[in-house]
Amino acid sequence: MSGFSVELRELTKVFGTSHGPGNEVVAVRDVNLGIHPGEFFTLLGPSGCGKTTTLRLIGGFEMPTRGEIFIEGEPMSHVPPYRRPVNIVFQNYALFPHLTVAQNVAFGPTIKGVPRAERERRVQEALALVRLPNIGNRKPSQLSGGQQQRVALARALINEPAVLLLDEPLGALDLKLRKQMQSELKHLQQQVGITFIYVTHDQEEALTMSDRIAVMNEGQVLQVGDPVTIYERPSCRFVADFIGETNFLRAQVVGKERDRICLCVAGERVWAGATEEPLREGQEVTLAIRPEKIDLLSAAQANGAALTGVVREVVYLGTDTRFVVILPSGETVVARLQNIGGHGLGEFAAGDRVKLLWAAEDARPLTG
Amino acid sequence: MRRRFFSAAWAYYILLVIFLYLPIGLLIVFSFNDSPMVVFPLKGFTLKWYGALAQAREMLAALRNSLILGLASSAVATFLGTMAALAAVRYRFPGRGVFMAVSAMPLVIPYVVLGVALLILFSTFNIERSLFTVGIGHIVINIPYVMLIVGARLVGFPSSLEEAAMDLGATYWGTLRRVTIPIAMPAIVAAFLTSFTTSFDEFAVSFFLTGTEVTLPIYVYSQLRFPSRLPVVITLSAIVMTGSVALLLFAESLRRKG
Ligand SMILES: Nc1ncnc2c1ncn2[C@@H]1O[C@H](COP(=O)(O)OP(=O)(O)OP(=O)(O)O)[C@@H](O)[C@H]1O
Ligand SMILES: [Mg+2]
Repeated sequence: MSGFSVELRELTKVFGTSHGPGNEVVAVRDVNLGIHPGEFFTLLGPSGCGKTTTLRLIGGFEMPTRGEIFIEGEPMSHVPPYRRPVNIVFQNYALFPHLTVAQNVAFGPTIKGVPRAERERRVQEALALVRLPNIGNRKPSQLSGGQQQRVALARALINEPAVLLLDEPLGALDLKLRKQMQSELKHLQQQVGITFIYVTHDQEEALTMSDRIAVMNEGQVLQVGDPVTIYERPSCRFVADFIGETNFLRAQVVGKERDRICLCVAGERVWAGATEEPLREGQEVTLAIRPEKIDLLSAAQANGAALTGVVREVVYLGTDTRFVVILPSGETVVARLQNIGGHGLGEFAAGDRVKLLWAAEDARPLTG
Repeated sequence: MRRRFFSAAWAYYILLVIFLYLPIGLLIVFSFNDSPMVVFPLKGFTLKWYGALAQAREMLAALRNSLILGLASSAVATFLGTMAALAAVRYRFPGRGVFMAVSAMPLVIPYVVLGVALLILFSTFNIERSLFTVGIGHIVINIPYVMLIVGARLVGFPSSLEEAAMDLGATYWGTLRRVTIPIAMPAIVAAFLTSFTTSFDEFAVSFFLTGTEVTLPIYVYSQLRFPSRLPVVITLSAIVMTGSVALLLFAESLRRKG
């Protein structure tokens, strides 16, 4: 027993083999994941990276080309969708247009032959859970997008699945409603304690809602971790770039200290945090540093290990100010300073020579 | 410029209405005309042709044949066509393109050719010509129409509805029964009605395949040799016309509503 709610082992899905060779799309490639019971787990990645396909494989709507899916320890390869202990909330909600809201929600229990009285009680409960009482008699076409979303949730949750799969469930909602539904969904998940596997391409949504995130690209899982790890310690350039904004600088390893590494960037010595994988002296790496981790000082205040550059652009963003700095190597670095106490805004203008500083652990040398 | 375009469009529309509906209107007018001659000027109002119609045994038998044939052949065509549409729209299988092309073939083959072809087929297998063989012909004709009407409806709603049903525990059959068929129902009814009217007034294929029991269109055609029977034929046509239009309007309203 693995103890996982859902486990994917070397899961691979290749599409398009029926059109002959050459047309194949590897939608999911050797994915290994273990998702814990009660976890809010997010698959995050750009369009076409295989998120939906992974979800459909778990739901049983696609057959894996290779690999195996375990749900609560049971292998799923010969289990049809209607016998898997999972339910899915489709991106377009997929509410049945010919049934009322109550009939939609009652669909699962009806199929399972739950007696009428109990069914009606559970429908009421489910609709109350998603805060939508009193609309049971309407048709889905008479509901707003947000209401349809909740009905789709109620229709899935009424079956008390072990795992709920959600495919960009908030994608069709406007920004404000989306924010509201994000926190509602999160609360709902904590309340019912069901494992959620949530698909989104919205990094902010992923960071705010998830217990853990798997970042995907081109069918592969690049990194799995909690939001802080994913944001603060991205394992590769793609993850650092996809989530938030990151500066990438060419760097060479110069030396090591206990928990930091000395690098040469644009001809100057700077410090970065130590990595899990060992680095050789002289090795070429990419230094990744987020704009908000960089501080600027005027070049006159000479100070040990720091990069020097010239400010090219200053953009006022309200809460903070964005500086684009050019290094002697020609590379550009973006720094964001909060507009507090006269630091940042008004302190530097285009053409000023500045020093760029950061704490060693905020900068990461990447090899991938 | 714009105005000229609109007046031209209006003129065109009025001509269309006249050419389409004037003959039909005349049919109804002459069915009440108190004269065996179908010419102007009109003589007087009468219901005697409607009375004579009730006595026309052979004609009523032909009418009954056509009704039975229409109901039975459209029921079969609707069933088969709906199944074919489901297969074509919802499932990816090898040879799907060929399957579609073969099913749609009767749409582009002239009915005369189809009639002859089926006649040859039946005589090769020594199958006696009868209403049954005509029915086979009508089924062949109607399947593509059913496929088109039902298929259009199926394409119009996402397959995630069926996946949702399966996700919620419905088997393949349960999904078909609880989701697919109910959603496609308006189109299925419309397809049935369309098939029925097609079968009811189909001539070419019936002409080749009919046996001793004739259908209404064939009977009417055979009666044209006897001028004295013309008013009764006209009367029957007026009734059938009115019925068909009502049926088609009903089918169309169903198709739109769903
Ligand atoms: N049924 C299919 N047949 C062929 N290729 C497919 C099929 N479904 C998906 N693909 C391909 O597999 C890849 C992954 O698709 P998938 O739908 O999983 O992406 P996604 O991450 O959900 O993207 P999005 O954010 O746009 O929804 C894409 O290249 C897509 O074109
Ligand atoms: Mg998707």
